[in-house]
Amino acid sequence: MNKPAKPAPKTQTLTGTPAEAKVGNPIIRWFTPQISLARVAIFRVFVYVFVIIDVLTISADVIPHGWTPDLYQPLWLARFLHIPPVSVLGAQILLAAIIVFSLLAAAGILQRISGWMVVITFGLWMFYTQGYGYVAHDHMALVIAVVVLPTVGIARFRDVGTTSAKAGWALRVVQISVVLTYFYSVVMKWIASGNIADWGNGAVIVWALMRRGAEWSKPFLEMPGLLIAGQWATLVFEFLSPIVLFLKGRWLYGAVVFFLLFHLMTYFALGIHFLPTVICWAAFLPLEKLIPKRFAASTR
Amino acid sequence: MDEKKRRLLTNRKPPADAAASAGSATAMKPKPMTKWSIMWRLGATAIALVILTCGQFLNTNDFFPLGSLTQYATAKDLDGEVNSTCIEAQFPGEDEPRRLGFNTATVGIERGDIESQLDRVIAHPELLQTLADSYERLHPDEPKPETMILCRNVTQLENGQSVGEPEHKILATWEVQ
Repeated sequence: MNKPAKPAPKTQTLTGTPAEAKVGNPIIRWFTPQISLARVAIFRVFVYVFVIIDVLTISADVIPHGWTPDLYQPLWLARFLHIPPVSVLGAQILLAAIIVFSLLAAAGILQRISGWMVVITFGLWMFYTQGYGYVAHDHMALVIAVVVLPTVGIARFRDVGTTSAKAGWALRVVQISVVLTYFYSVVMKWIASGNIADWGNGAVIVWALMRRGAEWSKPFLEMPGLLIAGQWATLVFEFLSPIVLFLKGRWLYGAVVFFLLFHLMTYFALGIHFLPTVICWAAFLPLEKLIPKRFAASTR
Repeated sequence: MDEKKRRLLTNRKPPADAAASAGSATAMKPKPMTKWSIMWRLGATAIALVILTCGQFLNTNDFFPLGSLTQYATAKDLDGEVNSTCIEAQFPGEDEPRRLGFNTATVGIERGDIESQLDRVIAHPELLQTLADSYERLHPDEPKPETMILCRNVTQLENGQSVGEPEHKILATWEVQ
């Protein structure tokens, strides 16, 4: 995008450093695009504010899990690190720590320390919310976002015109996690069902509506044909989701809106909001445009 | 100033087009990454992708956050059954067991968590004691349950539509201590 469209050897002679010469490789360039640091600063606000909402609502089951230590089923990483079941007091302290560090990280205060502290505290929280049997896959992109954001280093709101490849890598990784949440769920449907047509022609939505459907969506149970069509449509757009990584401009915005509307629909019909993934769709957007021009740093 | 010097030294044009694409009229300062910086990032991305991919094919959630994306992945038969796990408690002086909300606010744990380790709970019904304890702590003013009953409602499907009343099955019971 913003790299000179010249062959790699020439770039090498121009820049004179071997590190920059590497950037001539199109794959590396794709993984580490130069993006505005202000975009990271704003994305950080989205992510860390959401982390607070998450621990207080969606994954608030950690404190009650303090009462049910017998049901602890630690995940691999938690077993590897010998993380014991959570106690109620431990969960409350952890909750307070997550809120404090997330607020600091969102505001860009003590950026590196606060960012890594959120990785540790929120990571532990995730082991405790997911480590009691059920593992929700809507948290994949959010957890990865929390882990990669501190690697960017210092990013300020006024750094609208300053770009960074570290920032580019972090947001690219979040984007990849978002699309793989959909793409690999098709792979998994294929693996779990043996034949993908069985899933498409099956009764998954019927099953979901019966188990947790909203009252208004119950009449759809009378229309299995429509629900089967919905299943096939889901398979198609989930399978095609990686294309979003390569879209630009209106097509990209259109795709983001499409996925958000899909989640809105499943929320109203089934109460499945997928918000931790939804919030990470922001990694696809030029968020630095939200910074008023007068706040942007002037040319140095 | 430094930026200007660097540009002169490297004979590079000011990257004005990039600044414009970043939505700003101000000058930008691309920060080059060291070779190591690029290497570990690409390496970590590759390792994470391999783990995530293995997670799918091994069908395991164990590698969270890089586990399998299994939610709603299993095909359901249009003529099959829809199972829904439930929790009930027998209270003193009541004729029939009462259905409890299967959530953290009522019994300290969500239905999905128990369903994910259902075989273990059925094999070790003493685990239901934990749910009774949680219920007592969360409802200090209400009577203590005498028996906890893990149950399942089974709805039969025919051509994707339910037929008849749901069947009620008892999976495990536990005398609360």
